[in-house]
Amino acid sequence: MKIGIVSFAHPHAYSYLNKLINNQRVDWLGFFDDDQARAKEVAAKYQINSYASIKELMEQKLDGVIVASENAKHREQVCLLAPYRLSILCEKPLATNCADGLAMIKACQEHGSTLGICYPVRYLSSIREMKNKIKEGVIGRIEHITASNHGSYPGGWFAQPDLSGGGALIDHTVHVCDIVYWMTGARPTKVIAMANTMRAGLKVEDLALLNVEWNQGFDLTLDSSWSRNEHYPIWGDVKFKIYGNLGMIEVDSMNQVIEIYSNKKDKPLWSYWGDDMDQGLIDSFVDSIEKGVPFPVPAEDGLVSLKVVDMAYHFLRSEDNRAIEY
Amino acid sequence: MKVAVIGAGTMGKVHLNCYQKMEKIEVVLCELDQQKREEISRLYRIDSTGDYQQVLAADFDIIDICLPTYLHQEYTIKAARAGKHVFCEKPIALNEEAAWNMLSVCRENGVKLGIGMVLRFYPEYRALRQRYQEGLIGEAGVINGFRGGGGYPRGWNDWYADEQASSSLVVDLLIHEVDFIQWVFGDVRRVYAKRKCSAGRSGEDKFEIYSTIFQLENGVLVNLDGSWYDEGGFHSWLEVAGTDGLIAIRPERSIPIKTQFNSILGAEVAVPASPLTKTPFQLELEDFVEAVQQDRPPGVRVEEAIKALRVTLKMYQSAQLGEVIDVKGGQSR
Repeated sequence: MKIGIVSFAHPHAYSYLNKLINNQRVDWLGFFDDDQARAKEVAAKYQINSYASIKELMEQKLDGVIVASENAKHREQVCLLAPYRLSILCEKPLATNCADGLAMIKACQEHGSTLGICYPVRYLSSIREMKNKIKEGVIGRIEHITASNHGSYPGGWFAQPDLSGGGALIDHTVHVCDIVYWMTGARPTKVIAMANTMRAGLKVEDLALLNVEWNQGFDLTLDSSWSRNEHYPIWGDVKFKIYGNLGMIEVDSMNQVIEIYSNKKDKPLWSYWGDDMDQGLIDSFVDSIEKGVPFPVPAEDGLVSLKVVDMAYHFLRSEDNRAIEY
Repeated sequence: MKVAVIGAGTMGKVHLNCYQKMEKIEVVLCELDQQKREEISRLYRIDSTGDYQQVLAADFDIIDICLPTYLHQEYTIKAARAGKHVFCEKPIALNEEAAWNMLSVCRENGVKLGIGMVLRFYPEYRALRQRYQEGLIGEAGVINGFRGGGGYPRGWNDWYADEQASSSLVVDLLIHEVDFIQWVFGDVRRVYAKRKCSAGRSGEDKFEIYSTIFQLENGVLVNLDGSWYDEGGFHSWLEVAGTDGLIAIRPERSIPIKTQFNSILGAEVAVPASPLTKTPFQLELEDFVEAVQQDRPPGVRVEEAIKALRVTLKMYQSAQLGEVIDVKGGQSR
């Protein structure tokens, strides 16, 4: 199976490449990166073929391609890939806004390509277990969810609004909102957001709190801040606390660690040993291509969580204390 | 010093216990419910009365009001008019008007008013404040916190379940963190709150949940949740992320001893405790006694307790209206 990668701008691209290398069914890998210096580095380090354009990469007759460029480039690149009738997997967020996301979906539909989205959190066993319990109704009707997706400051283009579309809010909100949508099927109806920038000179928000109402009668409070500093023992967290009328479920999905206190490290470490979510995601992508079916997380799902981002930025830009209800 | 504790509910008993440990304090209980009065009076080996008028007429220095919130104003004003210093449990009152009234009557009568914002006396919260002020984590950016989890409280006459009597969980419970945050990090500018509350009186399955997001005048963001929901026991935690680090108070690092009671035996409001030579409640009461003795203001100013009340009432209002509310009123975004 021949898989291509478009851009190593997003650090997840390196992880996806490693997972592709791990997957026995992938026998050919090539990539295009619009940053020539980075392209040289990747080609040299991983010994894979680098191509000068998307067109040249596509001439290799690929089965699937992963787009891991800057958020703002997703639309143009996916639209360039769409005519090649292949399986496309796009890094989250789908785009910087829903209009772009919709255009990408339409382009793929028109040309017979399939478009999926990278939501690796769906591949964590604790998250799957949480979803199953909710489906079984063990805690009854969901009343409220408080969640967090705290992270470290990623730097680079993530802090350039023209490339990222925003800061911590767009980067992290989509993960949690996707899980809520996947778990319940509910759609967002109202978003209240508060954001701020703590790091000096940053052009995007690095702190964001949201409250999202969903059309099944529950609401979600979410902290999506890049609030973990360099000395925090782990990169961040993905946590859920779900209150139902009959009980509650708490998930701290990164709480499968060993603690390390080493004289050779400048900080304590919480070293993670749980499921490799990126491997789950990549294996699932390869499976779907082999079976000739679309990737199980369609781009349409990416649009639901991106809608929350659109609504949040709209609320932040408005001068009103009230949110529009959809 | 002679102290009369009014009300033998959960807090009344905690306060009685504290006064008994303090030197040169003579404490008496006033409780209307005869059976409860006799039981507690026997248990603590103290004198008691069921007549508040008798307490007002006697030579007490301090009257410590541990009654449901809706009674705070009436009992405080009566005590002040009788020339007694007043220590009153939090929240100070059901609304700001009542709170300011309590303060002005105390001032007119030349007596001190102390409010039980006990979180300020918890050593872990004091340590967080001190470490923050040492600059260990730079400037605060975002704060996450929680209080509750001990199930729905069953107070006297089920007053917690009566909104007219308690103004709901946010005013009763989250006022602690709101006060602490305003004390350490600055005034609250605007709030948004969501509330879920099941109908009916307190019982096995009654619950109330508040989830709030708010922003301080200096831009700091806060997510503070509270629940009267059975989360396996009462607890609280607070985490502050700043420009140069993070400070956290976590339950798993705060409780060196755990004892579990069978809930069939009947639950009252759980009081979080971490064994210390002096409990935070004793420290707050000692502070007030000393304020009276030395004629200095109490550690927690009434104006600050009222400021915290104002914020929690705005949260209550926000949950009803479904919109962000500016604490000072008007547009401030």
